[in-house]
Amino acid sequence: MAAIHQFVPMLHHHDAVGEHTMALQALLRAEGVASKIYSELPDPHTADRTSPYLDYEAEADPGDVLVYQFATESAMAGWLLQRDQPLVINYHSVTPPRFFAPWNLGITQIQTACLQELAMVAPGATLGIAVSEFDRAELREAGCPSTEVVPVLTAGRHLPPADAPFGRWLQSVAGSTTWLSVGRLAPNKSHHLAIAALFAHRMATDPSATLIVVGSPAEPHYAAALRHYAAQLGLGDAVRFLSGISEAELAACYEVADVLVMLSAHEGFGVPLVEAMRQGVPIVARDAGAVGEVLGNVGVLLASTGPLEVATAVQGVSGDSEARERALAGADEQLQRLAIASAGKRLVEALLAVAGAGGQSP
Amino acid sequence: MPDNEADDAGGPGAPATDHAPSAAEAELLDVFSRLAPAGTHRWNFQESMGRLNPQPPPAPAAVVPPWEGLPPDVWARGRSAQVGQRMVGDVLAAVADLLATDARAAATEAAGAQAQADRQQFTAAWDALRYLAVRLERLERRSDVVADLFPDLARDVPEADVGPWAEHLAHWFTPPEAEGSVIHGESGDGSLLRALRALGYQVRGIEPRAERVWAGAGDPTVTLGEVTDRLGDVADGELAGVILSGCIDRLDLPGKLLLTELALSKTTPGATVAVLPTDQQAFADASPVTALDLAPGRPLHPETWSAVFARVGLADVRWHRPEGGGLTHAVVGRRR
Repeated sequence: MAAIHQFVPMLHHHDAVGEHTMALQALLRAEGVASKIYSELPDPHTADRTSPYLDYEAEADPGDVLVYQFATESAMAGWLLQRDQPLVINYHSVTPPRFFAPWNLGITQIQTACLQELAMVAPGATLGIAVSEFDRAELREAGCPSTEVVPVLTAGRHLPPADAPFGRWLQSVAGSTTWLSVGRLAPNKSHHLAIAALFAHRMATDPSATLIVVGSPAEPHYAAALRHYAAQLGLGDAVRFLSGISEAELAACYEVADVLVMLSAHEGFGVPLVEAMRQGVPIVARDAGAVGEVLGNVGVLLASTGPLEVATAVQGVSGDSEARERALAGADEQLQRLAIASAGKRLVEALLAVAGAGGQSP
Repeated sequence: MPDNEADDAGGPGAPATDHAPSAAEAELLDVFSRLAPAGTHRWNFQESMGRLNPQPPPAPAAVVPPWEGLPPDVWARGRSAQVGQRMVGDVLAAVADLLATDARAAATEAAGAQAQADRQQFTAAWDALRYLAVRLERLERRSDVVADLFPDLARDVPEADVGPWAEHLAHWFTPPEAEGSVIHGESGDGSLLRALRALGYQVRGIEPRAERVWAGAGDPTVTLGEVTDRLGDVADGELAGVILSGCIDRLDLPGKLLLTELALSKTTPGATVAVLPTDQQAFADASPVTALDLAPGRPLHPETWSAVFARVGLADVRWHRPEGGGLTHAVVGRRR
C-alpha cells in the first residue's frame, strides 16, 4: 500500500495544525498506512516525531502521497511542488496580511509571501482539502483544481472536565454576566471589539459584567494594545487575559461563561464555536469567514459589530435561562450537521482515494 | 475579500463595522485605532534600530540540539512563521560571510585614512543611538511603573469642579466670530463646552475617561484620550483658546509644564490660555491618602501658575479665586 506522508513547517503540541497533523498520522497508521511527518524545522518537544523534509528525497517511493499542511510560509512549498508524487494541500486558512499591516510589518510580509505560495502550489495540487467552505473558496480562488471540505480534526476533541480550583478562582472574579472571547491575540480576532462592547454593556445595562479573553499573544503589539485599551476604558479589573492555560482550565472558562463572544473578522473555521455549543454556552458571533457555516442557526450572528449592537445581542442571550435555552436551540443538530465526529474517517478516505487513483484527482 | 468579511484590523483608518456606529461608539473604537503602533515614535525607533542592527531572537532556556547540518541557533530563530533564513540559505550565508570577511579585510587595507575616519564617525553615531535608546527605555520604565501598578489612580483623585467658571468664559476669550476653535481638556461632563457653545464659540473637548465621553450622549466634538496626546494632534497656531482642568492637577510637574507649552504652541496670537487648578487644600481633603501618595502630581498653587504663565510669555495674566463655593481657581493669560 502506498505511504501517505505529511509535511508541516514545524510540528507543535497545543497548536491547531500540529495537533491535526498528529491526529491524522494516528488515523492513517490505524488503517495500516505508512505515514511519517516531515518538517522544515524541528520543535524540541516533537523532534522525535518528525524528520527533516530533505530526508524524504532518499526515502521517496513513486506511489507515495504527500500531504502539505498549509498554514504558513515555508521553503517546503516550492520543494513539494517539484516532487513527482501527488500532492494534497490540507489548507488551514491564511490570515490576510492587511490585518497585520498596522501592527507588525514582519508578519505582514510573511502573510503576503504565504498567499503567494498558496497561489504557487494550489494549481499543482492533486487535491485541496479545506476545513470549511469559506476556506474552500480561497483554495479555488488560488487555482486548486479539485477540492473537498473536511473540518479540522481538533474540532472533534472533547474538553476534559473543568479544573475545579481554577473554576472557583474564575467565579470569584466573575461579574454578574461573564463574557468569554477565545482566540489568539491577533488583529483579525478583533478582541478589541469585545472589549468595546463590554464597555457599552456596562454603561447601558450591567455595570458589573466582566470579560475573559483566552488566547496566546500571537501579535505582541496587538496584545499589549488590548490591555492598554481595557485600562484606558476603566476596565482594568473587568477584563482578564488568560494565556497558556490547560484544556481543563479552558473548560472551566466555558463553565463560568454566560456567553461566548466571537467577533473575528477572518475565521477559517472557529473551533471555539464548536466548543461553546458542546459546553452549552450561548454564542454571539460576527458573520465573517466560516463562522456562519459553523454556527448554522445557533446563537446570534451579527452583520455588524457596533459596541451597542453586540451588547444588546449579549443581553438577549444571557438575560435568563429561557433566553439561554433559545440561544442554544439546535446546537446538537448543528454539531451533527458539521459531521465533526466523522471528519477523521472522511479525511483518510479522501487521501486513500488519491493514493488509489494513482495520483489523479479522485 | 469575501462579502461577509469586514476589515477591522484595528489600525488607523480601518472601518470598524459594516454599519456606522453612533458618535460615542465611533469614538470608543477610534481610541483603539490610535493604539496601533505603526507610526508612533517608539515603533518607528525600534523598527529603525532593528533594521540597523538585526539580532536573532534570544535562545530559549532549554533546547535540544538541532539536526546535524543545521546551524546551532536554528531553534532560537523561532517558529516557522518567523523563519527567514533556511537551511540552504544558512549554508550560503556562512559561505558569503567568509567571503565578505575576506573582502572587508582587503577593503579595509585598501581604504585610506578618510574611510577610516568615516567609519569611526559612523560607529560613534551608532553608539550614541544605542545609548540614547537605553536612556529612553529607563525613562519610560520609570514613568510607567506607578501607572502599571495602579492603573486606576487617576480615577481616585477628585474631579475638577469647573462649572462655576462657565459664566465667566465670555470675558476671557476673544469674540466667537474669531477664527479657530477652543479646546477644553479635560471636558468632564461637558458643562464648559455647553456654555461656550451657547455663546457662539466653536468648541471641542478632550476627555480621558471613557464613561464621561459615553455619558455625554456621544458629543461628536469630544475626543477620548489623554489631553497631552490629543492636543498634540492639533495643528500649531490653530486654536483661539485652550482651557485645561483636571489633567493639570494630576500630571507631574514636567507634564504640567509640557502641556502648558503645548497649549501655547497650538494657539494663535491673541488667543486665551486658561488653567483651572483645584484648590490644594480642597484637593487634599477630597483625595484618598493612597492617591495623594501615589499620584504623580497634585495641583499647583495659582500663584505658581501665574509665574509659569508669565515665564512662558503669556500676557495679561490674571488669577481668579473660587467663587460661589467652587473649588477651583482660574489663571488666565493671553498669547502675545
